[in-house]
Amino acid sequence: MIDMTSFDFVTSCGNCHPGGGPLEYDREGNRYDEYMKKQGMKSGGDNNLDGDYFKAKWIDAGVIEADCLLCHMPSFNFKERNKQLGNLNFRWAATAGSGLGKVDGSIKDNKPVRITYDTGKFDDKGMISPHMVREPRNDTCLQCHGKPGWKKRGASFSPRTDVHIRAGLRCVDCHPAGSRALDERIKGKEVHQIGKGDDPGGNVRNDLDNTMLDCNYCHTNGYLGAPIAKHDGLPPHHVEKIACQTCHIPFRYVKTAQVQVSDVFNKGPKISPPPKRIWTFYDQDMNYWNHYGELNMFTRDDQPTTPFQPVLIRYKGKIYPANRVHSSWPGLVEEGKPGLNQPLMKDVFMMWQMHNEDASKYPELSGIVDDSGDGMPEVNKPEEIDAVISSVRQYLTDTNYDLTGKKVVWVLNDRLYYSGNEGEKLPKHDFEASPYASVHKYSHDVAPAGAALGSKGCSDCHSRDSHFFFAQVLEYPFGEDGKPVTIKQADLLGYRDMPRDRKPWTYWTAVFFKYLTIVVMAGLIVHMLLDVWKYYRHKKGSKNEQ
Amino acid sequence: MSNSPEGQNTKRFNIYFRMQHILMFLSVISLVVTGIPLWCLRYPDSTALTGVIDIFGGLDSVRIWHHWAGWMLTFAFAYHLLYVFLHPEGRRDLLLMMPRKKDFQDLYHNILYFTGKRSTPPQFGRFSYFEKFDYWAAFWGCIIMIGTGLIMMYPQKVPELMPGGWGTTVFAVALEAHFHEAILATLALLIWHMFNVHARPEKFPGSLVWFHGNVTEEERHEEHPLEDEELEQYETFREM
Repeated sequence: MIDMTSFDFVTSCGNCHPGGGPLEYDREGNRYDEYMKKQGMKSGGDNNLDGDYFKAKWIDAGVIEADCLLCHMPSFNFKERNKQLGNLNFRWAATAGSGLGKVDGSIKDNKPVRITYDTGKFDDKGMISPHMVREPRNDTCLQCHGKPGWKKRGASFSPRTDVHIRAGLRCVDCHPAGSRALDERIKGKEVHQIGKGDDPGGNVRNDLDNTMLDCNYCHTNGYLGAPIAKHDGLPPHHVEKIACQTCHIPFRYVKTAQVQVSDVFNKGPKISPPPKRIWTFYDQDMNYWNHYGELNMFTRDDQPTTPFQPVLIRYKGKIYPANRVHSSWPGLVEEGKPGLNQPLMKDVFMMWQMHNEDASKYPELSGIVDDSGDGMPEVNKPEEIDAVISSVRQYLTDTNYDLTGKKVVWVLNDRLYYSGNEGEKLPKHDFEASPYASVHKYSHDVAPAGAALGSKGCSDCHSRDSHFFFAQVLEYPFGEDGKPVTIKQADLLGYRDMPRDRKPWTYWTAVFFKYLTIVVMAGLIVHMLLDVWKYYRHKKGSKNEQ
Repeated sequence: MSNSPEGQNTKRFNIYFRMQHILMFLSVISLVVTGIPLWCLRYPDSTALTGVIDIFGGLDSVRIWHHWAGWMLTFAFAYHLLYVFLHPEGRRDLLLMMPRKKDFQDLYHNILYFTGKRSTPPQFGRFSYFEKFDYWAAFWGCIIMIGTGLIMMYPQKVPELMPGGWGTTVFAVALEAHFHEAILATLALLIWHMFNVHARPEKFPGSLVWFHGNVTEEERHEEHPLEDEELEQYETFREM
């Protein structure tokens, strides 16, 4: 079984991946189209079941080279480019997107491709002078980063929700590249590594983590008119232990998917294409969220406002606001292999589709019902776990999937179930809900300083009802009753008492004063008791004498 | 003072000393009361204790009152330092307040007396060993509490005055010391000092010497029989 091939990757993921790398070269570094020709591979053939060439039409479609215009030409038409990717007209996609020519025909439909160049854009020598910008505009970045920024990061990138966008900052101001970058790792003329942060859920180029400008840089030197952060009276361990975002993103204004399950069928409206129905989302308040349906109804500019207070995690020694995504899904344990595999989501979707059309197929799925009362079924009881496991196993068997040495399991966050009553816990980081789901720090959509935690005083956090310590945060999306299982935020952060350094100096100070108190008070109390004893002894003696 | 006839009042504490004491107990009582909710911050997820903060109308107002009470204590302590260095009676009392070998002998003697192994109590000078203990405990407490309190009030200044990397450690140690010394000071005041000046059977319900500064000659001779001798020694020493 071959999952997504490199060729498939271009047609779907290529919408945002700008070209070069895996869109141009195979894993051995050969350019796809040239290598296919050289090796005598057949366009659209099995090609030795090589994932880079299986059913691929690189020879006809071409490859996607790194496309400068995509980022540096503000008028670049992403829609037109992506349309060409869908038609498998890879090598002409940049021409169509940049508007230099009109592309007709489709490799996908075996219609010959023909280009009609816009001659008005070329001079007498055949040269072009397009409107190019040195630094890409925000809209260009958001073409790709807008949607994922919404789904699990709750970012809106709008002046309404972000103080930096409101102040007129551009993405590249904080995420510089090339000669404008400050970090030595990415600094240099025409070096195209863009300054990045450090997302706990992302492992792409971790070696370049934190190459972007951090809050501290601008807010200590006033760069780009940034107000200088004073934090008068704030004990220094706050800024050492708590990330700026924690206080300065006290709320998110756009909902995020806190839970993504892929074991039930999502019957929400307007979900397209249908296989996406295998994913069901819940927001930060554990309300069902028809994310894909909303994506079909709203653009990023129309995001509905649903404020919530972020969950706080401890990551690399600091407290951050984050979305620790929770998940439940059918999985595969493979003998002798580390980690877990997953059946293809389209298979799980097909299993449900067949059951929905004919309840006699995979009948145990009928036992998965809604216990929480939100109208969406959820897998939470032992018999429901058994139903998922046995139905998936049966479907895979029916479709001739080789289950030799493999065991179908069900996974809920860090719990691995072999059956409804048998399972084990999976190791994970404290900041994760699941070792197999993402954790996204919130960094965009920063609130004005006047709205930050602490701006109304210490009691914003240090009070009985404060979110910082006492919020109930999600531990497992569904308990046996279908309701969310929560823990106290302070417990998630690992607080047993006030946050403080456990350094030797502090420790020995405490030891010194504790013993001093015990010794001094014991001495004083003994002195007092002896004094009183003497008094009453004398008094009694005087009475006896009388 | 030493020549007052029996039965008459004699001045034990002058107006300056009494003013210092009044300032001291007003500020310390305020500090203890307003310090309780701040102390409770040590246990932020204990709803029982954080409820105390609400009683005071919010953490910020408690903190402001605590700071003002702290400034009052600082003033009282500064006033006292000036008094003991500049005023002749202050200098005399500071010298007489210094611990001596006799204080330890008196403690030993007193324990034997308490336990019935001696028939008479020790004879004290102007200040008994437990009064000296009270004084130096308060002196030490002021240094610790005012010093650490200032560090906590001006956290951003601390790193500026410290070698690199020490700011946080100094702040954390100050926080820890302030927290624990507060307990010791409160316990010592509530249990030991209150006992000695109010609850002791011979003293109950306490004298007003802190207010008018007077004691009777009988009291003076009973509690401080060696005071006259000590004062004479001091005068001789001063005239040398």
